[in-house]
Amino acid sequence: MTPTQAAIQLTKLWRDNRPESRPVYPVDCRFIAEGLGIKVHGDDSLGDEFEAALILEADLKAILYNDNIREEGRKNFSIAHELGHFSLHRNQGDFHCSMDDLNEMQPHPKGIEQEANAFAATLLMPADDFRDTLALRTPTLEVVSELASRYDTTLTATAYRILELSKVSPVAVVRVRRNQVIGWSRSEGMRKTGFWLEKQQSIPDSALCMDRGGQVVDSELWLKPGYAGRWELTQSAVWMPYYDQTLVLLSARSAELKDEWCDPEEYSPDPFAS
Amino acid sequence: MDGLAGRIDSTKSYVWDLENKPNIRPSAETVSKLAAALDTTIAVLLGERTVEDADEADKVFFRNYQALKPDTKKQIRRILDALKEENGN
Repeated sequence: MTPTQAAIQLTKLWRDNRPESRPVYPVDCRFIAEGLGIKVHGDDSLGDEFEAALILEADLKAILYNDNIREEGRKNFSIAHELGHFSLHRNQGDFHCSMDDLNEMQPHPKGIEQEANAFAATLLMPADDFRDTLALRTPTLEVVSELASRYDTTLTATAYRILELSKVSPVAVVRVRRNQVIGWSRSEGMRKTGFWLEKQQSIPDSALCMDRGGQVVDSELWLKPGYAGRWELTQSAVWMPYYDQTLVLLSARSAELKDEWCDPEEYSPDPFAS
Repeated sequence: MDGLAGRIDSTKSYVWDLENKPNIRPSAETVSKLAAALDTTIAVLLGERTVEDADEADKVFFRNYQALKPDTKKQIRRILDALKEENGN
């Protein structure tokens, strides 16, 4: 089963079995876990190096998370991530260990961490509802913030979900700390704009307009000269003090065809046209 | 069935008997070959454990795992013991 299929199963379980008084969103992964016989326990006495764990022992199934995590959205994502391990990996033999042989613990292979993250994103932000709620709006951090409160997720996880679900719209997320890029990602559609950043590339203050609602910015701030003229960029950004970083969301559309996404290759000047 | 018979050095008709005769008593050697051929354990074949049980070793998965300080480890153990006690009551 793929992470997406496994998550959809649990989303259905929640939709069909949730208490009547509860809306469908936010999805309550604590409730789902308890339904699967897994205790969920937050504890504030744990060191900062601990985020969350799924523990499966003969007489206890539990998800333990660090209650010092500041954002509810991040706790939810951690619990959903551990539910992903439960759904996808509990019967695969080779990469987990017990609490007693922690000293030999190796970090999990990247693959299963990514699967658990994909599972968590799908469980908390199901594609159908997410697309309906986003509708045809230009993604900005104001929209991200509205979605994040609908799903009880973090701004970052929600922004990344927009990238995943925007197959054709050109969108990119950039995380900046002290004027340096610490991470970025782009949707499939954003490839057309040639958008590319180097690791730790420096970003001038002038490129960091702190507007949640978004505004059209000079495309040359982010795009290479050959591309900048062909694309109009809407940028929004928000400062996240807990993480000491700025989250930037960029959304591009063709400058020639204002209403529609288009392939710039198709609209390059035709030397034979009169 | 042919393939399985070959892998346990037996005949197709004996495999048929194994599958269909409730009172059949295969030798320990045959059971052990069967377990290897079917990629399972003798206990599962004898119906003493289900596959699910057989797999139920203690496991733990961490998110963003970093080496845990000894104090954190002890604390986790203590919390788990408390949760178990709650479970028992």
